[in-house]
Amino acid sequence: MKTAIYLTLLLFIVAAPMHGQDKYLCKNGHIWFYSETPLETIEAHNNEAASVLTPATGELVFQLLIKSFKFERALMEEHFNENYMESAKFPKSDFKGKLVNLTEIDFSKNGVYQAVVEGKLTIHNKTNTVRQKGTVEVKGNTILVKAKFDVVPGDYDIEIPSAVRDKIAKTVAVNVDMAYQPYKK
Amino acid sequence: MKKSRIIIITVLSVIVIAVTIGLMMYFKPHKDFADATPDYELTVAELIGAFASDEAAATATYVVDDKTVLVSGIVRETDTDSNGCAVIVLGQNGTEGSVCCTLTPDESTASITIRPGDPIRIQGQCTGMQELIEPQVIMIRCALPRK
Repeated sequence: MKTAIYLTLLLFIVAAPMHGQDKYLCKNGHIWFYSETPLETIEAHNNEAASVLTPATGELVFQLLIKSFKFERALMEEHFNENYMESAKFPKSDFKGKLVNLTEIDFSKNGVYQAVVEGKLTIHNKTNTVRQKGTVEVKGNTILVKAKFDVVPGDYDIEIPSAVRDKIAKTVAVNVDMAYQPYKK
Repeated sequence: MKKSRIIIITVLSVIVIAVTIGLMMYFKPHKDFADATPDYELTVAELIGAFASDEAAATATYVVDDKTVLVSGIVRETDTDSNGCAVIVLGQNGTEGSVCCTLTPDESTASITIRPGDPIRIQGQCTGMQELIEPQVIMIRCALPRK
């Protein structure tokens, strides 16, 4: 009987961290931004963002290609890539951070949890430390992460020419919508 | 004809031409990668290899100036993105490295018969390579070649 209890305990000790260290992947995440001024509304969508979430440590990493942002107008897309983001020179943007309120999120229980993420965001080859709020929804085997935050182009050395300054908002609203699935080896 | 009238007509013509060119540029449509003749035709391994060996050179060749890239390989998996567009991942099972092709909404309905294991040729806009999960070349606005 004692052996059985020890074995059961051992199983829990071994199995728990193994489950906890599992990674969750999102291969086709949706990240889009929105800029609105009385003169122009600009919206662009990227449906190819990749992300890895490690629930045990709260580690959260994103990567996307600037050129994958799709605009309604071809001219806006051209200006975005060539004049502002210089995507030929700086093709990627990434975020490396952590969920800082990890203890408030129960990844083993379905529900919507408020999340605070802190980390380093790199855009246009310039890295800044950011802290943003969002939600983490646990839905069976899927984890959904949603966030909305503002980015100031000037913080990332993105220069907006004076001729179009009135058409581009001073802060650009960035939306993140990711669906993660467990990593299968 | 009076000199002043000639000046007015010339100025008006210049304005009309400038406005027309401006509007044409503003409303110019996106490049149609589905009907374009491919600038480059490669296999999945060749495309991944090009980015893995020299990413800057591959970006200059395949990404800049919106080149039409046609890639051929085996379907590893199929998926649908949040817009309902078909996503076809080309690559070998058990081998790291893939090409992820997101089809246009129009092409997505035609792709329902595509299954993992099928040999396929897809053309579209190459936007670069991500390496967070695995080395993966991204292609958007994709379509099955017309011929």
